[in-house]
Amino acid sequence: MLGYYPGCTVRAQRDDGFERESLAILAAFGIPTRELSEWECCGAVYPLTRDEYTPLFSSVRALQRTKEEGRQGLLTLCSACYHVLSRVNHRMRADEIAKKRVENYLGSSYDGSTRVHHLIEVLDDLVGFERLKRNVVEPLTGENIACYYGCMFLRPREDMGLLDAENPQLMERLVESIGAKTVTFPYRTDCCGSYHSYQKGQISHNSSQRIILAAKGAGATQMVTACPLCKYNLEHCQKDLALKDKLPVRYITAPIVQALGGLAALERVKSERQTAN
Amino acid sequence: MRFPQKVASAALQAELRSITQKDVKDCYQCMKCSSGCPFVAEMDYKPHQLMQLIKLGLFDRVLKSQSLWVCASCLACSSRCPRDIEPAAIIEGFRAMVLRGKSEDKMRAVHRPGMPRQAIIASMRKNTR
Repeated sequence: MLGYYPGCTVRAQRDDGFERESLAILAAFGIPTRELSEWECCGAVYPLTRDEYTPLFSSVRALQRTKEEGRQGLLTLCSACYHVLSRVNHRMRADEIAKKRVENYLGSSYDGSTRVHHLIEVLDDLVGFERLKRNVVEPLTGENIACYYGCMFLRPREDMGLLDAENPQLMERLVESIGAKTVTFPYRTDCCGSYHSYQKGQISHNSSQRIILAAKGAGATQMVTACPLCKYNLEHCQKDLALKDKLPVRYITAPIVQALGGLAALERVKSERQTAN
Repeated sequence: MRFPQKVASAALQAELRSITQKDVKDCYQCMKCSSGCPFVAEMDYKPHQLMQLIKLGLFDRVLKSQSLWVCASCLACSSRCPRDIEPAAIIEGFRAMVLRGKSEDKMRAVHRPGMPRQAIIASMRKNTR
């Protein structure tokens, strides 16, 4: 069983359906998850200053609790949570001083051995794209999907270790397994403007619009992402675009759910599995 | 920069090194950081120019630069730097020096309905102490 860490944004915006869709997909493939009994926001950004240790505490507590509750790993849906949890975990393994300071403050030890999983990684490693492909009932033929990774998911490679930071292919393979075509477009690993949408809207507007127009120009019919903030920025930058330039932006789970026959069908599989058990 | 200008004190340079644990003197101005930065158009000094100013010890200019508050730490520069300087971490170091030295912060609390919490929390983390 995987521990589940929702994170502040995914939980606050649960009406978006990202959480419900993700957990339904995993449950339908027999990957049980249970939310941690207690968790705090990871802090949204990893501290790049090397002399601050307090920003590491909340992530370490979540990673520690995953072990205490006997879970095999910690699942996150949000790219930012995944970024922060993975990097803090890496720091606890690689930085003796940070480990000692954090442990002294928390009054308990943690060795960085909890595995942090992102939803897409779980779909690849624990479910397998081949198995996903076999369960597709409505292949998304005719869709040209632009996979947008953003920054948090990829960099730095030493700490995240998941993908090639310059030419990632994980989401493309996922999208192809559900029958859709992918489009290659520039800026798919560029930053969307991140938190600037709150204080300096123009900055995130410019960078997000550049991404949307590049994807549209490459022939995309929709864009998928795994980050709630990327999705917000990429959607809101389109307000002043002409109708022909607009591009729907969805969570990566949306096309998967669609290809697997809809949310209701997935949740039926889940409850059947529970009765069978 | 034709005439000698006021360079940063040894104490200030040591402070930067203790915050970032990186050394800018290794920079050889290949401009990979600025070429890949999604926000160069919004910056007064581009990332490679900031690195050069820091190398020359002209901290005053860097501390006043708007670029510090435009960088969103997307780490495109850091992950491509052939000298492993991590410009994003250096910029964060300067942000920290500004914020730690002052009582006021760079954040204005505004109400924007529908704004993801992540954006608000990240803004607080980057613009306040």
